[in-house]
This record gives sequence, structure tokens and C-alpha cells, in this order.
Amino acid sequence: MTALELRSLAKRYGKTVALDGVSLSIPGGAVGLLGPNGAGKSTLLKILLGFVHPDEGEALVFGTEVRRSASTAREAIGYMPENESFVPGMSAVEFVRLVGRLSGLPAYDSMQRTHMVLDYVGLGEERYRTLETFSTGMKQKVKFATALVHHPRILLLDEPTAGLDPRGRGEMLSLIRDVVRKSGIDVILSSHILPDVEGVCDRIVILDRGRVVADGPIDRLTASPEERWEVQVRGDFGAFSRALVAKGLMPSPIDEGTLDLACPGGTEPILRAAASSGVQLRHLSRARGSLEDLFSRLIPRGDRKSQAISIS
Amino acid sequence: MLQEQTYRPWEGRRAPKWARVWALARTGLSLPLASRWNLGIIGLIYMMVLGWIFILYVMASTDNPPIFVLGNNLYRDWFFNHPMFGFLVMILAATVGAAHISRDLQNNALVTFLSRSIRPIDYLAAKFLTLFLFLLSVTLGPALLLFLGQIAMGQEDLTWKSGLRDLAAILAHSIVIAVPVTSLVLAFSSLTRRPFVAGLLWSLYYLTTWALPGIREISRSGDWWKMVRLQNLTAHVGNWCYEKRPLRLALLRFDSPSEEMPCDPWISLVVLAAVSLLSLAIVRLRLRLPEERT
Repeated sequence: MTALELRSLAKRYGKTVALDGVSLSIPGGAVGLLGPNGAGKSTLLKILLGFVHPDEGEALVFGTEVRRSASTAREAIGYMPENESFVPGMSAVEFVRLVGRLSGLPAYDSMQRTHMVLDYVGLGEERYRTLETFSTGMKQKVKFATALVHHPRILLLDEPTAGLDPRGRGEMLSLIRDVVRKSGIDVILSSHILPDVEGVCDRIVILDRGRVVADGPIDRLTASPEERWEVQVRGDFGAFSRALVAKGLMPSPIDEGTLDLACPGGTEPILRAAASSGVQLRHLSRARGSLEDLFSRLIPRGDRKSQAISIS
Repeated sequence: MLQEQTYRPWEGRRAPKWARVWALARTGLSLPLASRWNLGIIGLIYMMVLGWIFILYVMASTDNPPIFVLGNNLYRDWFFNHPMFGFLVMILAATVGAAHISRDLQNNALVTFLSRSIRPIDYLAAKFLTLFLFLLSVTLGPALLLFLGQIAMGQEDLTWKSGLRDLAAILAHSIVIAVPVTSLVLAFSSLTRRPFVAGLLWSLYYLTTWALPGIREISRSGDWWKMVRLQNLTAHVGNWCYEKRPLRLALLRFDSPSEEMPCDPWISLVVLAAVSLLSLAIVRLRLRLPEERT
């Protein structure tokens, strides 16, 4: 069953268009939701949670229409909000257990799962401390634990690494990756930090001014539009470079032994250059652009309209 | 011993909706008891009652006791309608109740709660239940203690019927106080993200409406001003619940403000019901607002 299905979603706040006819079908897996500020990411998440009703269109979470039965749809969702969210005076155990109960877990199961998820996120030792004494990183982990406590089918993570130091960010990303790979829970990761999305997700959706400007697997969206290749050789790197230039190619060295070049005719000239210069070819693959390049290309600064890409 | 820290899925039957509402209400009930200040105020209310029980005990232990029969006036005028009790409940409602929704707004807990499979109306029901039960514990609880003291040591010859009637009246009077106070305090709590401001707004409302009918210039303009005072309304409706019994002699007398109300008790009941419903409508409206924010 498709995890998320959005059909011509539109939402306006006065004259501001938050979503403009968004149609998407997300089968599952880890999907990055990207876009500049005001692109409509938060509105989209709020519509999925049933907090906001769309002016037009409909949103389905695992086949349940959110507007008609938001409560049922939310049973399948584990939401991690961007901002701090806790009740002062409550310990981590009390808060996560309460959220588990609100998600429909029976009392015993809720307590058992609370201890399990707090252990899982690495807060086993601090579980009885009150939440206001926690650091930002620990609070983020508590939010992640509350999102997981009822074993949702999909996680909606809103800026899960916001405000974290590099170590905390690494731990959080590692947890998300682990959940995606081992638990079978789908993830929608909304973030401004492109490397985070690149490191966790295999698919992205980019929104700009309420419209989808890119939707598809990251590797295909970031594949270079011209035929660029990344080559790694062992041997006389200078001779190999000269052989490539002699064949009319323009190699750009990346580091010692590795170079990047455009070769529209396929790999044949590269293989011949390697043979003629006597180097050992260690790696040859199509060069990939970064998510940042793609983002800059699709979301231009200024008022120019963004172009749309969709790869299914 | 090895501690397994891997993620494990859950498959089970979900609890019914009421269990979710009760879970939120129960958590809300346990939090105020952690405050010494709240425990102190609750203690003062129980001290009022224990004082009366002590007097009943002294009278019952005397060989030739003076006739000292207050009947159900003891619950009405010397407990529920007493200004001191009203102020203590006001303070408790400010310190405990005013934080209920504003604290969740301030710390964004509302977003986490409403992102679960509960509706805003369930959240409202849980908050109402929390404060209502808490207020019952400081209205009905001490009143029941007083009732037991009166049954055991009072000098009135009560029939079973009158005793049960008093018991029902005590329950009704407690509800008459707890429902409007809960609704009003939740409304003030939902108006702001700062619990302190919510408590201040509620206290100002209570004290202002308390003071208004006492101002001579205002009281001259008509008796209807008395209906502004919340405690007058609750006392008026509360007194309506009790059995009218002639007292043999009351050594102590306290003029209940409700005796001079300018209308029938059912009008006061309608006013209290309208105030409660309006307050809850405000809360419901405020619970929608954070959802609509971008």
C-alpha cells in the first residue's frame, strides 16, 4: 500500500499560497522533504497530521483520508516536531509513556515500550530525570522516542538535527538510518540540511512556493545531465591525463589518482587512454552531482520560476 | 547480564479512546501534588473542616452540652459558601488550573499530544476532567469528612432520609462549584502561553467580580449586580439543593450572600451553565488556533 498519497492539495492563508495543487505518491522508504522557507513543507506536514484542512484536494496516509478520519490516520504516524515539546516537571519515562498512552497503547505495553525506546535512543540512564534538565541533544532524542513509542508505520521528522552539535547530529542520523533499515518504518525527513537528507534518504521531494519541483530517487535526480565520469587509476597519473587530453577530453583532477571528466561518447576513449598510458583502472562510474547542486539549480535565487523534475 | 537495546516492533490491540483521555487526566492530577504550595492550600481547606469536627467533638464530649445544631447550614454557610473557602479555591484554581493549557502551549506539548490519535475535544475533556476531579477533592472531599463528623457527633436527630438528602446536596453543591470554576479557569488558561498570566487573569476576574457588588454606588443601581459575583451564584444554586429544616437553635449565624439574590435559583443555574459553556467554547476555539498557524 502507498504510504502517502496527495491529490491536488491546495492551501491558502489569505493571499499567501502555501500549497498549490501538490500531487504526490510516496510508496515508502526514506524520503527527504526539501525546500526553502515558505515552500510549504510545514503546511504539508500539518495537513498529513490533520492539523490543517486543505482548501482543495485530499491527503491519504496508508489509504486513510486524513480529513475524514484524522485520528485513525495519526495512529499510523509518529511525529517529531521541530521545536522543543515537553511538559516541565515530568521525567522522560513519564512523558514518553503518556504519549504512548495517547497513541492508544495499553498501560502495560506503553510502559514496556517506553523503556525499550528510551534504551534504543540512548537515554536509558537518564530516563528518570526531569525533561527541563536535559540538553538539546537529549530533548531531541526524547522527541524521537515519543515518535517511535507506538511503533508507527511512518515517521514524520521535522528538522530532527536542528540545534545539535556534530556528535549529536551523527547519533540522530544514525538512529534514523537504523530505524529505516531494520524496522521497516517509512520516514519523511523534512530538513534544511542537505547532507542529512542525502545521508538518510533514497528519495527526495523538493517544494518551492507550494509546488513540487523535484520528486524522485536522489541518485537519478543528482545524476549529471551531461555524461560525466569519475575515474580512479593506479600508475602514471600524468601520462593518463595526457592521453585523455590527446583524445580531446578535458579531465579535472579530484585528488591523487582520481579525476572527473565529460565524455559524451561513452567510456571507450577513457579505456583506450588507460591502455595506452599503462595505468590500472581502479574505478569508473558515472559522476554524481550533489544535492546542493540540484537544489541550487532548481530553486534559483530571485523571482525566476523554478523548473520541475519528476522521476518515478 | 546483556541489555538488549535494539528496536522491537509492537503488535497489539489499541486501548479505547476513553483510556487515552483518562491517561492525560491522570497525569494532570499527579503534577500539582508535587508542589508544596498546593499541598499547603489543600491542607488549609482540610484544616477548616477539621476545626469544625473538633468543635463537634468537644460539644459531644461535654456532659451538659449547649444546644448546638447547625443542621445542613454547617455544609452550606460554614463551608461551601464561606468567603475563606471561596478564596482558597480561587488560589488553588489559579496555581493548579491556570497552568493546564497555557503550560502545554508554552512548551509545545500540545502539538505532540494532538499529533496522536486524540482529537482536540478529547484533550479538552481530559483537561476538564483533571481540574474538575482536583476541585472535587478539595470541595467534596472535606465536605464528606464534615458530613461524617456531623453524623457521628452532631446533636441533630437526623433521619436516614434527611441524611441521604444532605449527602446528595453536598455532592450537588460540590459539582455546582467545580464545574463553572473549571470551565472559567481553563478558558483563562487557553488565552495565554504563560501560566503566570493565566493565573493572574483568573484571580483578577474573581476578585473584581467579588468586589463589584460591594461598591456602594454600584449596589445602589440594583440587586442584579450581585449576580456578577461567582460565589453568589454558586451559593444560590448550591443552597437550592439542601432540604429546608427548621433549626432548634443556631448559636452561630452567618448571613449567606445567596439569601438576598434578586432572582430564582434556576436563573442563577442558567447563568452558571451559560458561563461554563461559553468558557468551554473559548477553549475549543483556542485549541483550533495553534493548528491553523503556519
